[in-house]
Amino acid sequence: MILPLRTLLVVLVAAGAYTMPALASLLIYDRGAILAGQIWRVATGVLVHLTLGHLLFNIAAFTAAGWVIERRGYPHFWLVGGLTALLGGAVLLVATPGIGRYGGLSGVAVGMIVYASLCGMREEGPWRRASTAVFALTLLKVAVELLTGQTPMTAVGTAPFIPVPMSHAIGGLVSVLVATGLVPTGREARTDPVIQRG
Amino acid sequence: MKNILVLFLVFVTLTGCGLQNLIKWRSHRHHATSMVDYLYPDRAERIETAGVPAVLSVPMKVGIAFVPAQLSENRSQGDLSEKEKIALLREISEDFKKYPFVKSIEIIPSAYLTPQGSFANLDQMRTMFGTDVIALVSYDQVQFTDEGLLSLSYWTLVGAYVVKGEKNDTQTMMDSAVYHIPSRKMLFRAPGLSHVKATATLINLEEQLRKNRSAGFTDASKDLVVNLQDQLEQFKEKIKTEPEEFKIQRKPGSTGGGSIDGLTLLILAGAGGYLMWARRRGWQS
Repeated sequence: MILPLRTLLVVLVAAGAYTMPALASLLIYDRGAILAGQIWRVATGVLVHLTLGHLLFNIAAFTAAGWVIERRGYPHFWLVGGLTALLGGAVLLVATPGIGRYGGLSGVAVGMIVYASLCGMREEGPWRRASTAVFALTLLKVAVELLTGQTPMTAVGTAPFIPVPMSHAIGGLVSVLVATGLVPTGREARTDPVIQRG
Repeated sequence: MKNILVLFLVFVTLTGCGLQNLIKWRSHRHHATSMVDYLYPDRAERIETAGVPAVLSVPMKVGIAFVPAQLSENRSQGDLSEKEKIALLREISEDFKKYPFVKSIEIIPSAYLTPQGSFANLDQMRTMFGTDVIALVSYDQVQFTDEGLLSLSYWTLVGAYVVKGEKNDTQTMMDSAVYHIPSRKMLFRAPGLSHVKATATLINLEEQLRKNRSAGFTDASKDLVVNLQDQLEQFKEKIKTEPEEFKIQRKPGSTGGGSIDGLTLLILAGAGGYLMWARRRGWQS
């Protein structure tokens, strides 16, 4: 049994930020603070959650995807997660000046889901079929979100924030770029277990 | 049969009850405010700004107010007092504060609204309270008092103390229309209904009517909240399907959140379930 240590580490930090307001205020995406020089917030905002429901739903999806990536030995866990967090924050900063504060791991979770399913599509049998279905349905959902500007079936409809589905699209895009090799991946690519298994 | 009729007539005569008590009569009180009279006093005029989309800046500050009574109406005993109006508006607004697109709800006292003030008056509210969107509440309450057979049955129970029984029927309708003031567009509207039935003696008739009046408004406002929430959900869909009519704009300083929804978890659970099923059928990963 391989423990998904990287996934657990991210979950632990997210849970810690939720329970410790001081940590949350240090990590949250805060437009004013970023422009004043606290640039780490561009990427760390994803670790902050605004309600318990927000935290639990995001962690559930992230854990499932992260576990699969680690368990199956897919590479680029940190690359996909980090790049999604960074790019998501950067796009928020440039394209949505109306958003003053932002939190939520969902963009990274969607990125992990898309990335895991893309890697899974290179495998054989039921794993390939399940991955294809997850990939297609997730992409469809992200497309609907982009078109409507809303997150369907959201569990946090009454939460004190405006849902930003754009972060999901960024997560999906980053994953596709990494999985298809359009992002330089260095040493990890050469030890891709899927390629080796294939 | 003949004996029963004779006994009944003797009973009525002995107890001093006139036959007129068997004949029903009905009185009623009516209290109302009119949304149409307030917003469109000149009914021939078309007020909505045609072709201009309603730009909703979220999170928004929403105003809520009771429509003032018509110019010709004098204030009567049954009208809502300002205190009651504020309490009802507070009750209604409480359920809408939870929405992320609502920054705050401003309860606007009736004194700020002038009868037949129309959108010129709403423009003043917009300037004074900074609310682009306002929920206007009007009401119509009728209280009927029936006297008749019921009164006979009532005093027979009381015995020698002759009092008349009354049957009160209070019907209340509250109506709320949510308007976007700059575009003069009605975003959505919903009614709230209540029907209160009660009985009382002449001695406590006024007290009972007051209680019924109050219960009528409370019940109607609860119904109104449920219907407004339903209409709000429909309006959210309308925004998506009619982008030329309604636009959403985010105000600087909003808090945003990336949130996974139930559908994503359902997709993952479905895939996981399929893989478990495949494994049980002998597939080795």
